[in-house]
Amino acid sequence: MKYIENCTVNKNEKIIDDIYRMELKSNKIVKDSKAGQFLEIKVNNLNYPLLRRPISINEINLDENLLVIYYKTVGKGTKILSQVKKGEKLSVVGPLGNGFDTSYEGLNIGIVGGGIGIAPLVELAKSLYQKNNVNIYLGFNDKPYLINRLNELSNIVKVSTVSGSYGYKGFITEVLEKDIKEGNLDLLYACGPKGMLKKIKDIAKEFNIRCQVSLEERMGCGIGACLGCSIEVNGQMKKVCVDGPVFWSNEVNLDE
Amino acid sequence: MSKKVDTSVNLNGLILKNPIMTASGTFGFGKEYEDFMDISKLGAVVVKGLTLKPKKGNKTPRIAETPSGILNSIGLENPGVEHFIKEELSYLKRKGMTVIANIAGNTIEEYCEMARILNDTECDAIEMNISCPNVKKGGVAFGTDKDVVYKITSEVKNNLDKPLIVKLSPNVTDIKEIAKSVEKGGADCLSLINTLIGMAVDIKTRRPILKNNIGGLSGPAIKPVALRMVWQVSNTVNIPIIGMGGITSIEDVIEFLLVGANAVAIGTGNFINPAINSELVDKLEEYLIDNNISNVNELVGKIEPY
Repeated sequence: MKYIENCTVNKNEKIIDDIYRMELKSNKIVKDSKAGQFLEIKVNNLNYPLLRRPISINEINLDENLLVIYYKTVGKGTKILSQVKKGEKLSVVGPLGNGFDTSYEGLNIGIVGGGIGIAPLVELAKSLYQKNNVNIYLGFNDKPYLINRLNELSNIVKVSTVSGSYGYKGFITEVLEKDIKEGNLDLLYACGPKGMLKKIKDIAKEFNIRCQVSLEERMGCGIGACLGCSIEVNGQMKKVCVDGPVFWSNEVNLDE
Repeated sequence: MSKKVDTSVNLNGLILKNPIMTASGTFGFGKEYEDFMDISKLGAVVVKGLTLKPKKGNKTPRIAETPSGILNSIGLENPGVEHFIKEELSYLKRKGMTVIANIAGNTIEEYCEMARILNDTECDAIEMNISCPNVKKGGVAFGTDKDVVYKITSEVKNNLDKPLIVKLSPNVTDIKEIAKSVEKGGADCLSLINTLIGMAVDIKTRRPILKNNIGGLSGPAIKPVALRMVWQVSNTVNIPIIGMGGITSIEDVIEFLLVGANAVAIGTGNFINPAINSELVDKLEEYLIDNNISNVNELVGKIEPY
């Protein structure tokens, strides 16, 4: 069930540079949410910016009825969001999208994230860890974040930075590929920039590993009505907002 | 609560229980909104534009946000008219809804064929889109030439027993001329406005944001243009008008009624508040009660121009 809910901001803090973390108090959305789903948040009550902002769920905290999000200030909407104070209310629509399929046990799993695409991997790791062997691969440009939290929810976390300031210098897909060649991964999950997802799709194909990718696309409504975020899956037009954002990498066309 | 006011409207034989409708292309086939409201409360649902064959639409990005508006170049992605009849229509009709099928074609014959196909179904009326800015061959060419508008309206009407609504493009020199041709062609009702053609630019890449380069502008940004056009057209023709363009509040609804719309459609507003349509049904009733108006039709065309 999807809801429109006025959520009180419990916390809104800068993590590094342009990455922010927000906690939203929720009574309805939080109860129906799962890993890989997202929210559509109206950053103010005005007609400008007009549209809601699609932001993935980082953590679902049912004990305290909190939804946690991480977002990057990329435009006017997210900049306004970063100014919102504790106690203010935001109109939130959610939970949206299909989320990850986490119905697996006893597998050796690789979870790969890049940039702000790392945010939804926390709830994902939570739903897989302890039932599976969870290996996490995180790629950053320069400054890493969420490493400690993900360390608590996995067997191992490997990090790369393009600048070389932390971990392996280069792309995280290089670390992943090396590990796959040396060991066995049964299943992959990935979220991040399109270039990274394309590379992981290729790796998954080459080594014949199943892979779920979570996509980002410009959205109008987030509920399947505007058809702004259509994508080709197995030759059919699908909507990233309702049929995704998670798709099997061998089925989704990432070339457009 | 007993209903103290009459909100029903008569669009030339098409009776709606209230004048609040959805705008084509913003409400899917209705199901998308069912978590947020009881869709059977609405005056009518106008479904996503249908073509004779399924259509994949344009390449993404298809959406760009602009000040108080959205540019879109969806390109009429839809599963085709047959799919709509088999999979969607009966579901909406079982809920007791008034369903209006929106059709778009590349040739007059295609429009006529869709009209014939839909005439044998339980849909209540047809809205003919002769003004989609995002489809290269059809759309605008039909909607901007008054002689072609007359021809297509009269030919489609000859293939249809159900009420025919014709949706007008604002991207014309004189919308009154086009409206007159539609009326002369035998349409039962007009709806306006469709989107205004616009463009959004990314200065970093020096490229348009939309893959289609240009798209249709909707949302609050276009409301003043829509009000002006509804007002001009209502002073020109005698057939009813469904007004639309940037409606997001009850005040907006009243404004459209005052300038001469007999009913209104909410489009982009659905994306921002997925419950807006049913909220406006309630708010309209409250507005009428609060202002001692017993019948919504008393508001239609009651603007006092200078």
